[in-house]
Amino acid sequence: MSFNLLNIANSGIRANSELLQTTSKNIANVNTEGYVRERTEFTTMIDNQVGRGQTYRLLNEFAQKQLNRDTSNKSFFDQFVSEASRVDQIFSEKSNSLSTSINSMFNNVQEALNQPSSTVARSLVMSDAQNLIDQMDRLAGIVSEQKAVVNEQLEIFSEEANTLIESISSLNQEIAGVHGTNNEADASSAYNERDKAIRDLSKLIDIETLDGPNGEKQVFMGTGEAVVMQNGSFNLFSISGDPDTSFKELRLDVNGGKAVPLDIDPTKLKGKIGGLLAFRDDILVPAQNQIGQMGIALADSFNQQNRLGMDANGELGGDIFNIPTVSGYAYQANTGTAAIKATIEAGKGSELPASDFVITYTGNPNEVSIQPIDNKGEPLGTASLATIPPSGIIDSAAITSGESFGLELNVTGAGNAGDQFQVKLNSGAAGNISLTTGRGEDIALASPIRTADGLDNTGTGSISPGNVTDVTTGSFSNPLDLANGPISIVKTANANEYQLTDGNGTTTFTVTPPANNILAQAGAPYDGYGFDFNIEGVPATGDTFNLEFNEGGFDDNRNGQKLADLQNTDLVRQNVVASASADNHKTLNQAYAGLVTDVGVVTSQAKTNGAAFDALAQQSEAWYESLSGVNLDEEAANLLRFQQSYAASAQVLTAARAIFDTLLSAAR
Amino acid sequence: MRLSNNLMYQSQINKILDNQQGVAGALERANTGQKYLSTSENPAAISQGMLYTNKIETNEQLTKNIKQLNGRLSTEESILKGMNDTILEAQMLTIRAGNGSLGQSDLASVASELKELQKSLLNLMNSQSEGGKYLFSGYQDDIQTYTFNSTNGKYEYQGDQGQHEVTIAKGVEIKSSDNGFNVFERVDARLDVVSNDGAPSGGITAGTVYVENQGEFDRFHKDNYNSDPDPLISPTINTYNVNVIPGATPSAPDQYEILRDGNPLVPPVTGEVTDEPIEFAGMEIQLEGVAPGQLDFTLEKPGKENVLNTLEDLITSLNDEQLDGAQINQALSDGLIQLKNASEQIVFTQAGLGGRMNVVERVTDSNSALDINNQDNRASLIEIDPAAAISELAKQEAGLDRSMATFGRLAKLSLFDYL
Repeated sequence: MSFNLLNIANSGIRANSELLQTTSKNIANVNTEGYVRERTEFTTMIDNQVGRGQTYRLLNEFAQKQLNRDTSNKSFFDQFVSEASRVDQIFSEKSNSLSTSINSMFNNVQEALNQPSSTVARSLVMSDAQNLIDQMDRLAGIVSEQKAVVNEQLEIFSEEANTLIESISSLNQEIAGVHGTNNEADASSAYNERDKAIRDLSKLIDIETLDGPNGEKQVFMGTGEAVVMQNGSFNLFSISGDPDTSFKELRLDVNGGKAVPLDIDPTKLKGKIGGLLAFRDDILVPAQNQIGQMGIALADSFNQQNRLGMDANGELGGDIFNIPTVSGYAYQANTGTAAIKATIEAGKGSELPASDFVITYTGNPNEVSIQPIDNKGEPLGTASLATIPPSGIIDSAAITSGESFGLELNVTGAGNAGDQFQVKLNSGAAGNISLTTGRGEDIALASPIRTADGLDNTGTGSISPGNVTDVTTGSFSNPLDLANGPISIVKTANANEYQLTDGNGTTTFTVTPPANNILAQAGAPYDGYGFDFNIEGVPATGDTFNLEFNEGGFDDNRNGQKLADLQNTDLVRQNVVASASADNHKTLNQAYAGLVTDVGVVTSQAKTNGAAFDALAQQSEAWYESLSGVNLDEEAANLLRFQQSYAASAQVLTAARAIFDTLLSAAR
Repeated sequence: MRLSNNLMYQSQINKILDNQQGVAGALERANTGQKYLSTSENPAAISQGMLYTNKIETNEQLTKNIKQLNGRLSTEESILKGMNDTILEAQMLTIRAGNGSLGQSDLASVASELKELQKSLLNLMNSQSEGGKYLFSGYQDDIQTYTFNSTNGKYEYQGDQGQHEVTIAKGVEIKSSDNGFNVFERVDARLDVVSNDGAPSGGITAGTVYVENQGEFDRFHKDNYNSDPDPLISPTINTYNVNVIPGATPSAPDQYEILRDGNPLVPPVTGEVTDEPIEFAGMEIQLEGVAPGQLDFTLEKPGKENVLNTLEDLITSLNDEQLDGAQINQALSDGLIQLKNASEQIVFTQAGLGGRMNVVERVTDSNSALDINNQDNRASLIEIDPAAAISELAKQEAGLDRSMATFGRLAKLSLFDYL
């Protein structure tokens, strides 16, 4: 009996010290990340001794999985919001506003219009134009810097993910070694570490776990690809950019790169990596494209209008802005020698959508398709087809079906069917538009033609100031003058009949009232002059009207008025696909406001979603912690309790010894 | 639910961090006066606000344009007023010169007075802006508006018909200048016949054709002058013939008929030749010689004459001692009518100018009303009310205070302290 008592006391002390050990472990690890609370439990053995204690981790698998999932979502939005907020803030900053620069430039155009012969006002326009490009440059620069940061971060995150994947795999092996053995309790730190690594990985990408046979955990991506498999095999992430090497994509190398890498759908990645990619695709790419598109639309329309006017040197206006040419990115799989350069076709700036394009060689000889793609690389609308002319320059004239999207592509070399190029004209142009001239005199405020009523006219008819639509028809000579000399129009005695005389001879013709676009009504060759005028009022027979070269007309601001009107003209194309009746163009200011709003809306949505997932993640963390977390007050109570039961067990031992001593002395 | 220590601390700290952000945001709002710190807080309001900012910025320039335009228009107005006064003075002098009692020396002194007026008109017509640009030269503001051509003795307009426009509101462009062509050149010359002496032939040896009733003649001229450029039309279509034939009997007076380019008029115009001049359509036709014969006269093409040349001609005539009374009268009629026409053209321009100034005034009012509206709308969209900003700040501070206080309470509690 006393022998038994000793045994019982002995087992009690051992058991209680084990309990104390677990409690102190819990207390000690209260601040250890990834630590799972442990509990030791005993069963009664034969002879009423305390049996072997079993220490196990208190873990709710469902809560853990839920936590991992919510962590992925939360970190996705955390990453997205923190990146997007920066851009949002930059675009919200008034000093960064492109609108202010645009308004200031057009205000100065107006100022120059008020005094067209003032060189000061003209040079102010040029310096404001420079400011505008600089501002565009700065904004585009901020955006492309962010892109570089995204690339670097992506690099770091994928390395981090790879480290975690490797460590999960090796911990899995360690766990398989102890699983089901007596040493399992001592190996709980391996379990903790592995689970923490899985949780860390879930911060980077969305993952699912599956319990393996030996306590291992297999890890899959949310999209189904296996990352950590049985027996310690695993797949790693890699980063590459095709065709644009500065535009990195995430890939999964199956089996250490021995098999073909899987392309991963970045929209479903979640986690920090997903957040980063979504930020790039949803904010950076559209922002940069839209800035570039606005720049091109403004530069092209300004150039075109300026060409129709006469500058302060008495010459036809030239280009004010220099629109860059960008190289198309060839895909690595291309087999031909073709290379593509892209720029905007003069005068087509408002046809360019804010998207990138994929140019593909079709099976037909010398035929390519032009497909606009969205920020995720998905096709927008239907592709256009074009035949490459012998000059290699594909513009609107080379299009056989669809539209040219305003592009002018210069193809060199020969491509094979299936060869593809990506053209990023908008983003390439965003920071690279420059001024061709710094001289204010080059702004063509005047019109190259002017009109005059005959001095001796007796009727009420008058000639309109005239409108120039094209200066490339050969009707202007160099040095600037009208190639066919001044035009003189005389009203004849017949109703609506006029007689026109210029270097091309004399013609008599009848106009259809109202007497608008007289030259167009006069027929060839006059209808091809590239300018025209109306006769208003009622001219009397014999009244003459004249049109001549605007020599010395430096106070003229007619062309300048049209330049100033560009501020309120719908120049920026909105959508690739739109019905014919849709209002598919916006003014520069509206387009910029649209860009800022888009960034704001996307950010604001992400903030709202982020807050929701934050709450969800907090709940699941509470759920998880409710079982696995350490509560010091609880441990304090346990400590007291186990201390007391230890003391009691020790007392049992003392009692056993006393009994034994009593027995001994009784037998003596 | 069982709470872990981790969770308790974490959630408390999160609350403190959140509240700190709230305080920082409220502080920033109160300092900058902005309702939103970034677009994402209210994209709709911010984009609307941006569009208002655009309107406000554009309006600033329009206000500048209006100021400039107003300056130009009032300069022009005062110049035109000065010109009109001068022309009226010249008209008075011309009327005085028509007083038959004046001798040659009186006429010469009138002429020299007119010369001074002409100089001052020339000066006004060649007015320059503060920047040395000619106001009335149209687009060619570097070129002096009127110069004297010593070859033909005429003052010639050097500019063109360009009119500079200034935008004062979206879609409202106002002409900020008038060119000399419209103001000074487009002055109708007195309608007349080509030569007062006509072209006599046959027995008629000489004759004169003078316009005596200008109103009647003007009507006749307007109704009948043919300016058709068609080459098939007779080049002498505007020539009238006074055909004189002897009377039926030797004692009967000679008969005349007025033909147009050889064809009788409808109805025919015939009559007896007497000692009195033949009166026809405001003209008085005197014939010398015997029948049969013919005097041809041609209607003058309607023309224009600027006030400088009108005065120049008048001065030349007044100084010319060779001219007889009728000729002087012709010159005076030319002068009077053309001065009146010149003055009318200027008054007409002034009226247009006044109309434009009215438009400018109305647009100025509507621009400033719009501006106030725009500023107001923008403020209500994206600017914060100071009182609201301060109370928001106080609220956020109180929140932070509370969460810090509760953290302290919680941190102090531990069962270990009681063991």
